[in-house]
Amino acid sequence: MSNKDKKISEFSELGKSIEQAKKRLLDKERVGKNKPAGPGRISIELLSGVVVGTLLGYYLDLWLGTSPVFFLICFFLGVAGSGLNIYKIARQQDKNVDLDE
Amino acid sequence: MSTGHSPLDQFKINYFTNFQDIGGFNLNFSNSSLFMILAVGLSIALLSIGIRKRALVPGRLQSFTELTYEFVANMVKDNIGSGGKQYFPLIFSLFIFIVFCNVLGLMPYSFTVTSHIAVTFALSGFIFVFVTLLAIFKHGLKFFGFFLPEGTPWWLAPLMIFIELFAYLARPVSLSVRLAANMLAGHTMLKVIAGFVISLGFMLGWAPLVFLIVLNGFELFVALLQAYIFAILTCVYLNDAIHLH
Repeated sequence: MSNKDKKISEFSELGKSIEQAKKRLLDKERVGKNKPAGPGRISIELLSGVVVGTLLGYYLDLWLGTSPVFFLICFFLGVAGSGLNIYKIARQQDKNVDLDE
Repeated sequence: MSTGHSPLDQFKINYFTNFQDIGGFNLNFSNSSLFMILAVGLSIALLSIGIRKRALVPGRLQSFTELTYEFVANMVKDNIGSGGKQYFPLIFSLFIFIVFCNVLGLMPYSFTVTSHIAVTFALSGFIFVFVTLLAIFKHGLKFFGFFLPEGTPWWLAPLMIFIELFAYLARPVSLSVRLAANMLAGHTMLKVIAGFVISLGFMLGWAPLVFLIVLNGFELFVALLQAYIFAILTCVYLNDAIHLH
């Protein structure tokens, strides 16, 4: 009797780990599939990166009292950051189109 | 009263009470607060009255409530995965609040709460701080490995860290500015076209009136879409915080 009980509990544990593995696989292929972007999303991302860079640079300059060194550096870093965001969004939209066929 | 009405007058904050600053903050009750309370009250009413009947085959209101719930639940499940169930109340409250604030702004004589960057930046700033703290508490110091993507050459690494940092900091700004700018632009356009209707008079005023009707429908769509985009980007940032580290 105990042998059969042990087999039953082993099978139920196996079933549970199969369920968990299935859920992990489903998660991995489901997450990050669609990420729809509304109209004008790219323009807003471009603008906000520049805004964050300039504000950060300006207040860093004000706080540290240096000449507009930080303002210029942070401005260009902000532009680069917004470019990076746009690149990621465009790549994601490319991936969406390919999956739709 | 002889000066013309500007189309931007609708965004002015009017206070209903008049007491002093408490602790340096202006805590008077404004039209913004009134519409926020109205949005919260209506969403609570929708959800609680909607499921009161508990019919197995739902009627219209219950069906609407259930559809909204399932919509947000599917959005959370699709974007965060199974580990995201605990964040569902946050995303649902955010989504419902923004939907009601946006749509209430389309009623005549109302005030659009989310057209002020103060409100939207408060929402997105809170989300940003929450997501960052969640990532730091969940992954410890490995959180800073998020800023260095795999496969960057060693001589590019310091520059890449700063660029990724700025891109990360641009997230709350873009989230808030998108919602505020869409609401602001939409309602300003509505007011301007409405001004055209009056100024063109009886003979020609029907043309902008037809356009105004179509624009109202479009603004309703934009109100719902912007709330959806806000919620879904919050889910994406939560997913970044929980998983990809």
